[in-house]
Amino acid sequence: MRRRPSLRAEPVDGLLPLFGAGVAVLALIGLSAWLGFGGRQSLEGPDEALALAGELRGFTPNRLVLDRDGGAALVGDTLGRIALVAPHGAHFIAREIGPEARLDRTDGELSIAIGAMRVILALGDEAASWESLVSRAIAPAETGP
Amino acid sequence: MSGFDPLPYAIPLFVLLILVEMLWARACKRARAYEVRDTAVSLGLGLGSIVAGALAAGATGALLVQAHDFALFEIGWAWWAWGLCFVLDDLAYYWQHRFSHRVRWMWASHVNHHSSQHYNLSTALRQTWTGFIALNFVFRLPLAAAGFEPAMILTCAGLNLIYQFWIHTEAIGRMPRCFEAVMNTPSHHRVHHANNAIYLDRNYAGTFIVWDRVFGTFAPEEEAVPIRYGLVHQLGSFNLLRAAFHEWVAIARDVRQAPWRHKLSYLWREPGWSHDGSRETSDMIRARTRGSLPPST
Ligand SMILES: [Zn+2]
Ligand SMILES: [Zn+2]
Repeated sequence: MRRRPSLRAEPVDGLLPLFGAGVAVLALIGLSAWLGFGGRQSLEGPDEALALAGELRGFTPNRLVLDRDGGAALVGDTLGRIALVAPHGAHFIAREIGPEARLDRTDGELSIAIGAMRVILALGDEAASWESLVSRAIAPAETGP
Repeated sequence: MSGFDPLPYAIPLFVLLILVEMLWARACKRARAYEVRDTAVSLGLGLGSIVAGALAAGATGALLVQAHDFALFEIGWAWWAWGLCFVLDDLAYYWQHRFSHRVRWMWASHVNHHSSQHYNLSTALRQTWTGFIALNFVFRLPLAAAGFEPAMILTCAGLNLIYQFWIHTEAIGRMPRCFEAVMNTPSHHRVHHANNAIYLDRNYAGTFIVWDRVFGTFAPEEEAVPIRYGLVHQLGSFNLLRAAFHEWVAIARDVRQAPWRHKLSYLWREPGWSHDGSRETSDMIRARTRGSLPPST
């Protein structure tokens, strides 16, 4: 008769490796903070924002504005859609602005929120014109026959 | 004979190499190489996967033993069986991984490995918490049914996972040509983690890149195409539980909202499939991007 193989892996002293791994994880997180791997990064330039927005489905960028510090951007396309290029950790993500977005303007700054994400863009003189573009993306005017 | 799990013994090495890579990134002024919250999520997923793996180990083992009971041969513990088992287990891994990208039910479990926009050694530890629910073990059953010892299969699977750790780095460019031809390498696996259209659903290999070459899913890393890492629709969150479960939640929402005749398709079709064409699969993205490329002169 065939011997039924046992499958019990030898535990390395039970929970000790898990505890050790937990301590090591905390140490590595602490080290990455200590080495300065955090905080806001700036976009490498307009090209990075255009490339990120250009990945959205059917999005052909034709206008762009960078936040004063390069910490975010707005990109418009040929159909009047607007993409928000927002910081996420050390990188950036592009999200199309739709009806669920919220917009505020104070002086030269636009504040745009999409879900839990909220970005403030310092746009100076361009804030007013982009405010109307973004407003139209949030609530497109009815175009009937 | 009891099984041997090599993973706990590799953890100190993982920690040491992550530390070295962080120092390298700092010395080379690669400010975007690591990000503290991303690292915390990656390592948290790694820790959680140890717990999830331990919880599922009993059931996985029992299923392998069941399959082994049907085996025509008893291969046993011969030295040559180890090598053969490792290679065939790597083949099983290739298909498991390929299905994990092409069937949404399995993608829900695998997506957390890909949801970082970073590519560093901590990314390697973004392992699944829900692999058992995703039925990953199914791909190992044929090995047990062929007569390989279940404990040997699990040890080989552990060694395969350990091999894949070092390839998650930008610190290594290319290995010697003959090595790149046969083995999975940082260059090959960077392609797998890219969200650039030309790289989607490529290089599924675990240890041996030859499977991708054989089954037509290989893509070399192109110097001219700077890689962007992560998902087509980036997660945009550093919440650990969201990283682990967001696609399961999305599946539940889609199944609830879909018309009856399409409900099941949201489970087994490829990620990005939708019954009304409102989303894009990787094939659609590739086709769209090909179409928008300027004609070559
Ligand atoms: Zn993958
Ligand atoms: Zn990987």
